[in-house]
Amino acid sequence: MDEPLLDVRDLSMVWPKAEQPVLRDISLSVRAGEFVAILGANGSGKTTLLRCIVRLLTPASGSIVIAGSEMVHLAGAGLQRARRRVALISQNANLVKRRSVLANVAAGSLGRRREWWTSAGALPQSELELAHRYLQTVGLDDLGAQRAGTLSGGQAQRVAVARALAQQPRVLLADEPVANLDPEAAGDVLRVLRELAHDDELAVVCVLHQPDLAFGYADRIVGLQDGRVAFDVPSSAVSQAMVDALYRSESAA
Amino acid sequence: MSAAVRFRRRLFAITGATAFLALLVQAAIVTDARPQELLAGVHGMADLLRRSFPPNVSLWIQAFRPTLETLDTALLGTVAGVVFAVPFAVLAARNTTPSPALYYLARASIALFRAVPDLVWALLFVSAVGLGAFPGVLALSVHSIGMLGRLFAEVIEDIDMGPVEALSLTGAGRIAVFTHAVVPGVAPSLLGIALYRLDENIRASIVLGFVGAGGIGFQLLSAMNLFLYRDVSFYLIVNFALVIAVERLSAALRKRAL
Repeated sequence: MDEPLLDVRDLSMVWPKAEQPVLRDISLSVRAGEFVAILGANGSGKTTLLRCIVRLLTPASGSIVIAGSEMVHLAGAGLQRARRRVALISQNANLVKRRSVLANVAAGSLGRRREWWTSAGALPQSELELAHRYLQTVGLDDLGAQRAGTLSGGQAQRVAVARALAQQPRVLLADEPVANLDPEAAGDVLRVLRELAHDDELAVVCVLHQPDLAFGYADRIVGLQDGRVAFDVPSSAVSQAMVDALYRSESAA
Repeated sequence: MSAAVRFRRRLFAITGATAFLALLVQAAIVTDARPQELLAGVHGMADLLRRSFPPNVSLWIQAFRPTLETLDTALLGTVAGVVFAVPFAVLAARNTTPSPALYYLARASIALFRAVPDLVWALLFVSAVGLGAFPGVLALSVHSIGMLGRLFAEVIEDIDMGPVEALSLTGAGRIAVFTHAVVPGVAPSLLGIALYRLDENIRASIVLGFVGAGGIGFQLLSAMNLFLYRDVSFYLIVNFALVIAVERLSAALRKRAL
């Protein structure tokens, strides 16, 4: 149990043709049941870090271990298999607008369910039933039959959370999932993420833009500054001065 | 606006108009246009119309099979065209192609299929598989791959890549990502384009009869060669009815698809 589910070590990343690395020797480990928030100014490398972890980007050096297996050197089928253990919720819900909410959620299971007929566009009945349960988790089970294109921003983001659950991951990453939401909807989404960590023993990492939300919901806060970890401490130990320091470099630059 | 600018604009407009006029005169000379002969030929045309009247309605039983042949040629040609255009389009869309080599290969094939007119494809296939409706089906499907492939590829290139990324990240295979994230978004547009193609192909399949690819076009040509103008006028009426009926049907279905 004490083995971290997500273990990032000395991760560095340089954009092609860029001189400065965007991530420098980042180390971060998250255990099951932890809800970690990442704070940082624009350009501090928050999104890049998450996209490296799911290997949408390839790091220059370092290691990423998820539930005991190394992600860095994977490609093709091996990468597809490894990705099932980690879900990423991005800033846009990225739902298939012309499909029903329920089908969108059930599509999260496509990594696990690789029968030939799921490749032909069908979804397993059992996954549709599970999808209904995940919609209950995010409080939207009455919207299952609706087209995803008709949802409000907050609803769509919660459906994206439900889709991530359908993937049945061990690690859940969220990239500013509440950036476009009003405070009430943001609270709904963050409460769900926190419950997933605390009740369902997922390792949850959430990039946030508003420090207040991080204080309110996260167990631990990681501050990123210029691609480095500036601090990594329990929420209760984070002072306003530490947070202010994170965002100061932005106005100086 | 200063006088100089106004003068320059006027000069530009006059030069442009003169150049366009010159272009038209050139076209009239090259095409040997002689409108006066159209007036002189009015007698001949009136005579032809008189001889075409009344249309030979008694042919309706004989016309049934060729009409069906024309319709079926268009139907099969369009469906085969759609079925093969989809994989070509996936390879020829920048965001879904697996490799640059396949992208260029698919683009080049689509361009070739499109650039060669369906009539020429029909001539090629008639000499390959003999007279009849089947070479017409082949010709229409190959030309349709060219026409549809490009349009389908454009539709695919316009899609939102967010859901594609989201489903790739669940660990789903490439094909599943395509069927679940791309297909639902593009299906209505593709169906609309395909129905429009059916409408074009019905007209094309009539003309294909002229080069031996069966159907009502072949009957029309035979009647003309035998100077049976009352038969010709009847076939033209059938032709007209067929084209309008398919046009209406495809428009109605398109409206429901979108």
